[in-house]
Amino acid sequence: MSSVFSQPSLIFVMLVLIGLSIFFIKRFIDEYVWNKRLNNKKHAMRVHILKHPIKQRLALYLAGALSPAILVIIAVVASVNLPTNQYDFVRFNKGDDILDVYTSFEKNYRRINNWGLTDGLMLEENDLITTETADYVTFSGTGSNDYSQTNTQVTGVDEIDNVVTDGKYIYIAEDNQVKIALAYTEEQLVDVLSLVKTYDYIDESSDCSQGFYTEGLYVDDDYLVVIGSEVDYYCNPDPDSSDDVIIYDYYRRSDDVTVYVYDKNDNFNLETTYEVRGNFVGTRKIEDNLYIVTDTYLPLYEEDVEVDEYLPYYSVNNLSTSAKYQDILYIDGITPNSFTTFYALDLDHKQVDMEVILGDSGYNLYVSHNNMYLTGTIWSPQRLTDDWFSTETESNSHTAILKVAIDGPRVAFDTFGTIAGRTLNQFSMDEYNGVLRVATTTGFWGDNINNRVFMLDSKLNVISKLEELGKPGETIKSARFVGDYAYLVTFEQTDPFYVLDLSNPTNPSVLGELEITGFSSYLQPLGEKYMLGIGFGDTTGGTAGIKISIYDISDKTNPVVFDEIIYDYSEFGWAHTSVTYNHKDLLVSLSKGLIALPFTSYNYANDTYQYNSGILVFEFDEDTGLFVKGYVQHATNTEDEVYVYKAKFISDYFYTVSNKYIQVSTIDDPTTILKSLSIE
Amino acid sequence: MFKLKVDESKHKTITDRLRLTESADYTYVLTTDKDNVESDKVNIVFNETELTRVASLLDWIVKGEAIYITGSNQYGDKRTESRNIYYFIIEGDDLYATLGTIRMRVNYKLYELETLLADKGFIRVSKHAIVNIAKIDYIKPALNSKLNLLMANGDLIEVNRGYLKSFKEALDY
Repeated sequence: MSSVFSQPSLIFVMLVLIGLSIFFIKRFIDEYVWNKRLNNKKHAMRVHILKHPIKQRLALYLAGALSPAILVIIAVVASVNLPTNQYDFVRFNKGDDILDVYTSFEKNYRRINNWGLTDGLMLEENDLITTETADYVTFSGTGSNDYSQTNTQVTGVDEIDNVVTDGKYIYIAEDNQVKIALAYTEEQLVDVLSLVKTYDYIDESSDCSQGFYTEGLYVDDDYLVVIGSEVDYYCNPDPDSSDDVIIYDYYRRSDDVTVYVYDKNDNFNLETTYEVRGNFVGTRKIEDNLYIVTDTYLPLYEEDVEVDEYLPYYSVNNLSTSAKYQDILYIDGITPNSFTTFYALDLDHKQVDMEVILGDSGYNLYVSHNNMYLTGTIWSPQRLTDDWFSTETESNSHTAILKVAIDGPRVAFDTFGTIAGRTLNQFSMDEYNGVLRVATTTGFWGDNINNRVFMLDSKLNVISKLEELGKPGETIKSARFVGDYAYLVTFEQTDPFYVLDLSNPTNPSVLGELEITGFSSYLQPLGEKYMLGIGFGDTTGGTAGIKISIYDISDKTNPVVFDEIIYDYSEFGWAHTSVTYNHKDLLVSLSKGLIALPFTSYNYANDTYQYNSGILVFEFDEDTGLFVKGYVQHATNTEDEVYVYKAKFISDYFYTVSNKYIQVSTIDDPTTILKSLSIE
Repeated sequence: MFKLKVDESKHKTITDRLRLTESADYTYVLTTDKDNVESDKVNIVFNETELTRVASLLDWIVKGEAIYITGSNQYGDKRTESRNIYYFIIEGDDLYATLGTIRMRVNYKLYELETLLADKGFIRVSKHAIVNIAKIDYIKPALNSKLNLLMANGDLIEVNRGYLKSFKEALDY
């Protein structure tokens, strides 16, 4: 009887195969053990562990070790290895693939209009003109370590702002300029207050010039970071023309975001220029890593559109790198009308990473230490079926959430999910212990309003939700998540202030409720016992005034108003504070008992127009509550409106910034101005 | 370095949330019950609601005081915390620190840095190089009993046979 064992050549081949198998298996085990050891060590060092290609390596070794059958299995596994939620994620090879997706989408889905996207016109590239208008004054004094930082949502995740300080200098970004003022040194205190440098990003030699318009600033120990976009100005060629058609001046932002990084340790010289493709959506900074989100509108409906022209790219000191089609991801079912790009700029190493997603962009950006969440409203995409003629209503609006993981200087798409309703702002979201909590509202008026708080797992699957928060007809006006608790304000007639217990993600509950008049549009924790609310309320139970409230939340089941101050419009004329929509204009220091915010009033009475703008300064004490310490104005009864919009402190000194001055006083006596610096 | 003494039912959850690695030879005892403290150890008694703060404290304990390294390149001098450096390597007569894609020349001897940064996760891998373990992305064993270290910036650094044992010991926390 003949068998394979009688054929030496076959035995040889089998032995070779077995030998190869053993070789590959041993190699894999070696590699696995070494990397397991490495990861354990990194875990012990409390270093974040990067995702490395162990699965691909495993596949390689097993394929080598076993048989082609494994390849088949891997192929099958790969084909079903889809995310757990209901969305399919698609990658591309070339621009035509994106056009195919668009064509397919148009064929299979309702064409759904989204929210206010622009026409995506392309601008020509222009060289930015930067001029310095003042000589730099070298000053070797040391600043203070005790200074006010930007009022951010997440501690350690910095947010862009128009005025920042590092304890020595105050940096101001205003339109086309960045001004650097020496504000404080330990040696000469506030005597040093002076303007030391101005970056002027406009070519003033031209009547109709190009320029760079600042979005804001970051500052840290090493760098001053200026972010903005180039702007094209279109000027009326003949303003004196008597033609019937009047052409006004206008300007338009470019489709790129520019980042200038100045070296603080080298006389603020420009160290690096980054350019990233897309319209500015949001930014954050964590340590030396700067994150920017942009969107680039894609006019795929145009004939002969060249997708290549819209492909996201970045450049570092004019060295440009474009996204590859293979790296672009599409979430099936979402309108393919723009590229949303997440950039990570490693400022220390001058490296950039990017993740490009084809689909609707968003507008509310929340960033934790580990993830970026971008939300936008989508009118739930529906495949074309018999219900084509059914009415698309607000009630089926959904919040789309893009989750992108951040790992130091790297960004990578994680997942996508949708939940009912729309988010109000970045404070509608919070990540805590791996759970994303999101507050949304469905509907605008009437009985179909539903305010919800969702608890989502790491894959954005809903773990649980609280529904029907607020009284009928009320919508969410502000939200703040703090650890195990959430604080929510809903409003239509009165202001229910809710305390939610989210300590058990599977079973959230309403713990306490307080009903008062008016409502807070911004909530800021003051330690663990108090919550500051800034919003609207008057002395007659309406909302015709600015109301500053302190809620005592020490008993979560029974929140109470600890103190409140109302500025009734009937006394001031119309008044406003930007803190109701921009939390970064609020200055809070619990250690100094200091709360300060811009406050502007307009009054027209007895044929006299009065404009008052200044910083309201309060002292907050846990025993005695809130006291007004003063109202710091830079000008009164002048023809020019001097708008005072920001307050900072360095050491014991209190700085206020307006469109004309920086003035300094002490925190103890904020209205006695020690020095005033013109910054015009 | 650490030993966690809590209810068995909560042990895994708390370990995960604190990102904790326990070791047999420990200096610190972490516990929610003050009766569990050990007299010859450093004891941290914490409330379960304060896990985030405890995790920050552990970060501080493990990472310790920052050490700054000064170097220079064509842009001038630069001072950076050692944890940002991927590896040090000798080329010619000079020693370079690599930070992502940029390099700067540093005025140290390799053996000086080996001693200075031993507690910061740096390990000697050849006569010419010291690497930051935190910046190793992946380890690929080579055919010649050496190891290739794929660094987080894409560079490949070789662990020579003579340093294999000490490298392995460095990974065994």
